[in-house]
Amino acid sequence: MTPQPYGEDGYRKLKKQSLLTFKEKWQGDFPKIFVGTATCGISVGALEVFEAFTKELASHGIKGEIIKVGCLGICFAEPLVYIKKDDNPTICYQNLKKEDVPRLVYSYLLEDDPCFDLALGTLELKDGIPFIPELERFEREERIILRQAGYLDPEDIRDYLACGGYEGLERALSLTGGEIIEELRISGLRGLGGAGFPTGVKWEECVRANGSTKYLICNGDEGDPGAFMDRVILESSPHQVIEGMAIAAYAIGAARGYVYIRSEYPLAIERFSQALAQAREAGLLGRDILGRGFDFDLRVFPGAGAFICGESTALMYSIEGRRPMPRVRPPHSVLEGLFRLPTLLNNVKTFSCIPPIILKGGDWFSRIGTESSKGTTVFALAGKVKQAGLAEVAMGTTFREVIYNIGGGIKNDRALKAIQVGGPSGGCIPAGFVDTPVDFDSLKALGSMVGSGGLIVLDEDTCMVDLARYFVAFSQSESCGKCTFCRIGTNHLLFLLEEIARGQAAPEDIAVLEELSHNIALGSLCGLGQTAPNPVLTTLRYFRDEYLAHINEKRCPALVCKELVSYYIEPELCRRSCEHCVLKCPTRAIGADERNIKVINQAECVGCGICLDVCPPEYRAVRKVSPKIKGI
Amino acid sequence: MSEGDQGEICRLKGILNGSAPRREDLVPLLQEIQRSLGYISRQAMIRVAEYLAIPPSEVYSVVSFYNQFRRQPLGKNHLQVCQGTACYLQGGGLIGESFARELEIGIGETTKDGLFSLDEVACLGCCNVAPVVKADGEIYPRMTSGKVEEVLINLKNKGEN
Repeated sequence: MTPQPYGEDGYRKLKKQSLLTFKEKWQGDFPKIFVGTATCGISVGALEVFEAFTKELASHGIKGEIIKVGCLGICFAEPLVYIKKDDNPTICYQNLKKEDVPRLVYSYLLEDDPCFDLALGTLELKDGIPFIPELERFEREERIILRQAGYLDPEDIRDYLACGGYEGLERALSLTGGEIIEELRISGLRGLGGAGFPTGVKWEECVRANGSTKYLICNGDEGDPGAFMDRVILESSPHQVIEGMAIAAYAIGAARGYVYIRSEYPLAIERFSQALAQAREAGLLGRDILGRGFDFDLRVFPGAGAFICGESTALMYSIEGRRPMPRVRPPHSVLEGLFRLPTLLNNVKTFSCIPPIILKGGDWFSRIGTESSKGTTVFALAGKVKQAGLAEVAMGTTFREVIYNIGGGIKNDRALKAIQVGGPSGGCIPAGFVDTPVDFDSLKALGSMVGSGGLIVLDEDTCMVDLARYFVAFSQSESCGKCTFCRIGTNHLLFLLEEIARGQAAPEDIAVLEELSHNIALGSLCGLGQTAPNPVLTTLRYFRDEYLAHINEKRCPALVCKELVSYYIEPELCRRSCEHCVLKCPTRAIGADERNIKVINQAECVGCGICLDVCPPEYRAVRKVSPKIKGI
Repeated sequence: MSEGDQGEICRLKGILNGSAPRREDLVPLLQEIQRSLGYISRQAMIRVAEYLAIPPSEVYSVVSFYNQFRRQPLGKNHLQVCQGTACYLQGGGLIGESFARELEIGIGETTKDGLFSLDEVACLGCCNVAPVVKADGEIYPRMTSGKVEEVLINLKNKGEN
């Protein structure tokens, strides 16, 4: 790409150039094969599939383009490939193995059979291929933040430019900072990092802050162990974040910015750094951006693995090379942030919303969503849901739509028990609230929060005590240790939950749990401590009977808590000649009685579950029981 | 001074050679040292402190804070059992226990023969094939306790070939 200098129509020329190469690549008269190569795809073999296509096309002498794209958010179907051929609708193929590729190339590209058995659906609706339905989830979703994820080559800035990328920046540079902030205020956008603070207000405060040097930070330290949308955005469409940040920098008058990405996301760091280099080369970052006399540059700061760095003041200390422990606010970081200078910090998703708001106007954005929460939210759907992945929906969409229409329902068609939203800071919402429209305020009323956007679907096999224990263990180990209530309180909270899970707690411990939870929330400086008790408080509120079963009956109703569960071999179902469990048991706890029926010696059993795992499905003789079997 | 120590010093010198060291380089420097040496030794912390002209205790306070930084060398095979929410709910906890039992070490430890190190991590981003274990960069999808022994045998054989 030829870099600047730009005249007045610099952007137009840049876009025209990109469109030319883009059309050549994407709209030529030959088949195009798109392979999803975000971390989720690569981990299950997307690169092998890519290789296989390259090999097959070469061996048949087919002219075609194989393009690595980001992630469509349909994670359950990875490795995911979609093929555009002639005028057929684009067909999406799921769980492709490299062994499937020769057949697909031969049948669909050489012949005209699209291999229905491998297809998941089409990306658009057209007549002609009646047997592949359009993917329902795309009808239900409202994609603003993920608008380009999976449709572009993230390693080529020309793709983004050709699809209207950086047009928002171009427009913004002709406005004043005040006009941009006014547009944001009209849009009603709230911070999508979890807390939901009005973005326009935050920017305004940063503009008003004293000082000529200001910093801009994008928070990509996605630490919730069940959320991965920021990773997908950074890996699939890095330029939208850069564009949003450049607009923000212009509006508040910042010349330098940082993108904080956790080091557990090496591919995101790699692709984002590459995108930065390309943007600089194209004159979209650096000195005199688009010839408009505006200077701004960005660098990636790889985090080092600390959940607390998602907290803004801790994140800033982390960049400074100090031990990242949050500090008392005020002063807020918009007034006194990185290097004690005014700093604007927003999340990856928030910055992603900026370019479309500038282009389409705040009014357009404010028409999406609910009265108090505008726009969309992205959920990372996981757990016991059939079709895990990302779902971007308008605020106000119900859980039912997200779980059943987009996620395809519960695995094995079991009953929904609860929904955990917001990871370690969120709470468990029981199935009865499945028709609640989701926004910042409705979730808060239920004792949870949007938070990271992790949405874990739970079925009857999930023990709520165990789940609360899991999240508290996470918060406890990630507590920075500054506030006594968070440091010692979460430790004691964890101890009590472990006692309950072991069946060694007393009924009065529930009151202690509740009191301690409230005190931790009140006695902590930052969001980690303030929200760490949420998983406990919500499970106590909605699933108290499960706590009582553990305490009073020493019974885990979901058969999860190890100390309260025994493995048992049903004598009538055990096949005498089969020795699977005996051979696999790591503690040799399984023997046979005089009829050669297997029996578990409960004193030797460590509860690893291998016998249940290896018992052939036609027998299903091993099962779990609670309370524990005594003796033998 | 052993040969290993000298090699380490040499590599440290290569990393700590900028002209205008700044405090904000601390985390990136430590990451580079770990990439090069596999862990952050006591000696490395002292050298970094000298380089940035800050007390060694401050370097230690940063190194010990982050999950990424190791203060002991890793074993030959690095096993990471994912305990992200999706993996945990589908049995990740039992899988971690099975590895610990088979290897006779605890989480965060290395076997005496230096072959295996066992860690638990929060989310490797492969929730769609949960529960997963990562061994030497490779993802083992849909793990069960029953497959633990097999994974270990495979890794051992791979090392011998």
